[in-house]
Amino acid sequence: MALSSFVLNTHPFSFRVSTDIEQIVESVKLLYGDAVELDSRISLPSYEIKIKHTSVARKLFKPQSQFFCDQREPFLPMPIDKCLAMFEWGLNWVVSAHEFRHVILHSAVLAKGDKAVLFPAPPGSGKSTLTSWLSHNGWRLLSDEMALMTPNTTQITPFVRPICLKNNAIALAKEWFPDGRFSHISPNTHKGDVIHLSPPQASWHERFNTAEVVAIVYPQYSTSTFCDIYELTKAEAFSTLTTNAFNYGVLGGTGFTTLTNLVEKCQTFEVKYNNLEELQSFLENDVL
Amino acid sequence: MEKKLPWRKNWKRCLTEIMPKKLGKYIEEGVIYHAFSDQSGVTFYSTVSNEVFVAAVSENNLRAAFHLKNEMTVDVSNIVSALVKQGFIKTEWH
Repeated sequence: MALSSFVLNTHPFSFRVSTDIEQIVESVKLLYGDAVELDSRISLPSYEIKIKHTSVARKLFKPQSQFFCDQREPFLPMPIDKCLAMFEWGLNWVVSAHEFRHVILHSAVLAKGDKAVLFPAPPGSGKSTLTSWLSHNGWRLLSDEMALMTPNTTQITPFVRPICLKNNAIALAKEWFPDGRFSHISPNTHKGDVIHLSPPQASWHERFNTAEVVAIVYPQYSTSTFCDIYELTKAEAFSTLTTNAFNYGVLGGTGFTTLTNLVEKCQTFEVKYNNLEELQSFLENDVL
Repeated sequence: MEKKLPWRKNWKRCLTEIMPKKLGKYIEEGVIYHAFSDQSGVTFYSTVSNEVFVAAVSENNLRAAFHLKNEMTVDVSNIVSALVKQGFIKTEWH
């Protein structure tokens, strides 16, 4: 396949993507829909991305893919069946390593209208499963992976992209959303089997609209707990939040004041749950 | 073998034990701080080393660390004011 090129217009960043991997072209079109601009001359992209086969010889024997951002190759090549996971994680890396206009938190963000809730959590806590559930049940997705906060405000800029589901969550999501737009599975990555799910159209349509954070919820999926909710003190909330901040150290004092301002203005909860409907009810009735 | 605390309790133990001993080093260089409105603690940020300390349970520990007077009310913002007055904290950044 010849090198094809398109622009991914994922507000507030755009990426000019060049690739010779057909699976990437097909998957990106499926997952990103209208955000893909096939005429790559239309807009000026924020970043130049290239994801391609390593070499002609390796196309025939254990093929691999390479990811480049503005000529740099930040990762080692990965087997071709994991190319979409590499592409998505690569875009995460590009933004978290280069973006300093926003305070970036490792957190999902969902909103009802212009009221947003942050869901910062470590991998394996069920964050993406929760994200997929809420975004298909009346909430709009701003991000599954990173919250882009305007410094010294509680304003979040959406960065709508596919939701990354792993292992057991894959079967669950396919059962919940039979009409969902799922990618193929990237098998046996360092996070296990991985699939990407496109958010509903409503989230894509509202991807230019900011929202104000009203609460921070630390979710932790627990098979044995129906839905236990603890309110955190502001000191606890701040301490936990700093562990989820990407560019906090680079922004220095600005990052510090943004996060202290955030915890002062928001309620903060830790939730252990195994019932998503109960958690959704808590969020809609007691948090918003 | 020492039992490992759950992650959400671990940071609290670490800060309670370590923070008062190490904080002095950082405030000599310059810190900014924020006292939380629910009086759950004070957070200090070193402008030099980019490190953050949250003193969540530390009114007494702070008193001990900085030899503050005991008759001071147990109020976090009070302690911060005292630290500023005594020159421990060089920058206020609210």
